[in-house]
Amino acid sequence: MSQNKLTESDLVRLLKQKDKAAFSDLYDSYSGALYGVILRVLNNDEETAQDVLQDAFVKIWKSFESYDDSKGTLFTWILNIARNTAIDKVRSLKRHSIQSLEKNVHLVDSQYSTSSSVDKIGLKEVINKLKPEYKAIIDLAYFGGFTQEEISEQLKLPLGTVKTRARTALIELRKIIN
Amino acid sequence: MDTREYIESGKLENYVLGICSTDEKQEVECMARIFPEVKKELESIRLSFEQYVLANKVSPPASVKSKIFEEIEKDEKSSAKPEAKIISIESRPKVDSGRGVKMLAAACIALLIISGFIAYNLLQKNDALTAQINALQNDQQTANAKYDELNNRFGKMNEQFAVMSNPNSTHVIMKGTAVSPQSVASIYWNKESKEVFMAVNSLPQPPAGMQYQLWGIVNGKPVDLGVFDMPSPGDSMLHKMKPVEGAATFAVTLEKAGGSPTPTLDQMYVAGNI
Repeated sequence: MSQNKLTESDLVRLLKQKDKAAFSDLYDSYSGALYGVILRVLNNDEETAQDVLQDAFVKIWKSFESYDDSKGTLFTWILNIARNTAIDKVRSLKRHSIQSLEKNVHLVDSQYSTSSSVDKIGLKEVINKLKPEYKAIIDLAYFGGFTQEEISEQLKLPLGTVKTRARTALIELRKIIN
Repeated sequence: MDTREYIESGKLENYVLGICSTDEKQEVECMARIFPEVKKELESIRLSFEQYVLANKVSPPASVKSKIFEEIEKDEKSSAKPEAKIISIESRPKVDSGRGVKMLAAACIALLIISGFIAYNLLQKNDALTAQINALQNDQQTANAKYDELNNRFGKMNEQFAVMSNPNSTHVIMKGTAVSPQSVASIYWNKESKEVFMAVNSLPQPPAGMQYQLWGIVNGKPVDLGVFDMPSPGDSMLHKMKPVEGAATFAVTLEKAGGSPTPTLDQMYVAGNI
């Protein structure tokens, strides 16, 4: 990341050597992004989200040897760990149910405008240009951890439409970002 | 293979969104490994998606960081604990995908298997061919050596033929003496060039430490024309000896190895006059 003084490959090398200063840098660079994801997966349950963030970073520290930079970026890897830890948490709490889906749709929509703790970033406004139907599908899939079938069932859309809409949503997102 | 169809299938987006099955995940990774255009597309989708995630950052309270460091320090002290395993992107029920895409993906896996198989076979074949090449190289070296030897022999025979057919050559047959009546040897002597060639037709094997020596008798005095070894059986080659002028007689005596300054007359085996 740009905030980072070290290059990513330096950071990776130091983390493989269990360098705590490097780990502190990693935390400073990415904890905000990971916490943002975890919060959304956990329906803004801050207390649980903080536990999950802690678990995720401890996992990152312990399993860093298994990170393979040929398979993807450091951010992609830690993002997956954070998301998976959060989704596992939701499942273990059995809060996650199909019934909560509609609430979820509402939540992910409202989050953009209501959450005051969201960092003020120019990109955020740009991303809000994304049509709500696209935003909803991205958020349900990624933050909700629902399967394509579940999304299809709940949004009353054919499975094929869910798939193409996910693709269109990411294409739109890409256009906006670039 | 049509990678555009694959790119447009939506699988890459599903992969990035983490909503594909384990099979699909492997498939996408396989495709990305094989086709640079798939990899490029996947990276591009991932990058823009990650921008989206980054744009929704929320700063966690400072207490979380200190708790994490407490925990990893505690963990270091009791490092006997097994490491936590990473939970990979979860598997979900396989979603039905288009037939073309399925075939493409199956082809991708098959391609990996086939290329591995081909590589293995090629390796085996390569070993066999290397062994064959080595054997052929050995054969060729043997053949080359034989050729050189024969060529050399042929050259010598040509020379000998030239010696024998030269009108200036005198042919002298040296017959066995009382010492060895069965022995015989021949001389070709070119009076012009003074060259002397000798063929051993029949002489007994000399005892160890002894050698035959050829003499030319010039004006009643023996002149040393050199010692020679017995030719190997079947070798009818002419031996080039020292040149001589005005010889009246040629004779061979048995001498100590290396030759003697004067002939040991009671050991004369063959002799012949011009």
